[in-house]
Amino acid sequence: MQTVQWITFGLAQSLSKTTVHFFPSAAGIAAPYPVVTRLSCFRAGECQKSVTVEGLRLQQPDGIVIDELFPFLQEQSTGLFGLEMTLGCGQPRVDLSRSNCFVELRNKSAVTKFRPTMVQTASDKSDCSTGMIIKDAYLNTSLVFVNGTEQEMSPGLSGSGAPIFQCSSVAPLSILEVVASESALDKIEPRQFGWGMSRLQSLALSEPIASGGACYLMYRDAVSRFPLSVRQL
Amino acid sequence: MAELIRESGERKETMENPDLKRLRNEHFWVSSGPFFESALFMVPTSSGCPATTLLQCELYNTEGECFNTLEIEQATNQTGLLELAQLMEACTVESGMRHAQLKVRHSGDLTMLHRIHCRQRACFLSSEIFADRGEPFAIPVELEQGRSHIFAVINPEQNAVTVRMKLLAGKRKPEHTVVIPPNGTRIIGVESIFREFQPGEGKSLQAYLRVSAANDQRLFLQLLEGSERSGEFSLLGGLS
Repeated sequence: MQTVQWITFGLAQSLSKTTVHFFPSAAGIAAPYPVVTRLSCFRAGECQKSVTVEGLRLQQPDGIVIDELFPFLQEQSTGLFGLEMTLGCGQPRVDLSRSNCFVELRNKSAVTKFRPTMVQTASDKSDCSTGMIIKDAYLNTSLVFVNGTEQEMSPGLSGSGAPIFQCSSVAPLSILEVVASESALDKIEPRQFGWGMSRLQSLALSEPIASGGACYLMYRDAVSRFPLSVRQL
Repeated sequence: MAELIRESGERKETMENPDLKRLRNEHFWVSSGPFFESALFMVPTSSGCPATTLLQCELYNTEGECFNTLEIEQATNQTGLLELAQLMEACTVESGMRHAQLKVRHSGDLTMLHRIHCRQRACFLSSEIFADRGEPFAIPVELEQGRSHIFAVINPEQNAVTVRMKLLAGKRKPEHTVVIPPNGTRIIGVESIFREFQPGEGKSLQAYLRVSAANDQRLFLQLLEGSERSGEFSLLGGLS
């Protein structure tokens, strides 16, 4: 079976909802072949549940509400949890690698939609991208590490903002949100912009995260703390 | 700190700097009033790059006319910022908004991040959402009373493009078509175009906007969601 896989996270919080949207596509194929998706939810070292969902079709977008698929997440209000998602098509010669996926985090007053990390083989791994830490009256930045593998992950950081985050290792099948150190942030010279003062620093991973893991910069609303933007690092 | 080298109201016909020949082109949908203000962060990517890097920026109005150009020499040891408001005074207003396409050509030693903010909120928007080679792209849209979506489409090419937008809502697939001139942009109010799909009070409808270009061109896309009270759009979020 041809498959494509993403590794990401969702948010289990009262009055919030996590939905994943798939758009299974294959170059040059218009037929709506059946597509199967398998979703696994993990946190704190264990895979809590895996579910196979049928009914998706090639070239047809569709969504799955994670809180309905894994209702125990809302009951526990666990905060962030890891998600591994695999799309598969039984048809031979259907290359799903052009498929798209959005993760949507929503509550009554905010929404963010972002594209999760596609799991790649070691030879396909691209260079680390660079991101930005910002702290101001609107946004706070945190780092989210997702480890969907059975091995411990020890990410390293580079860039002027690296000392702002105290990174520890990430246990297997776990998710770790690292909040910026207030004392380190206070040492950054604030800069005046049209919207007020902001503290800025650049940040990158010192080496790519192993296949089956992912790292995101998450920008939370400074008042409500709800995530407003998520960007792969 | 970004140093403004040149700014003019006329379009340069060529980008003649040899250092910029191997460059990366990036396309941003940007806005300056009345609802949001755009800002572009220029984040250095590595310590091994030259002390400064050059960026060439062109701003195109919705009809694809270049109304401003500038070059920036950006130090690569510090994050730079370009607040677009100061560069968009000559931009025409379309659909009640002053919005434009910003093309940036640079050496790749920088990561560009687009942030918008309104009075209550700020978020980062991706510049990497696109439909390519005539293949459709689908974006989730949750319709609900009191919410509205602004869908922005950029035509980065030198040819006009016909853009087909299908709202996939259950078994119904209404279509809307728009022609965008070369280098032009359009914003489409999803709820006003597909008014009959607005669900009743207290209900929501999960739909998808399926977008494709009629002639194999590339399109850059962005979708903002907001709440609407007395004609005011209050930002809830976008595609990051």
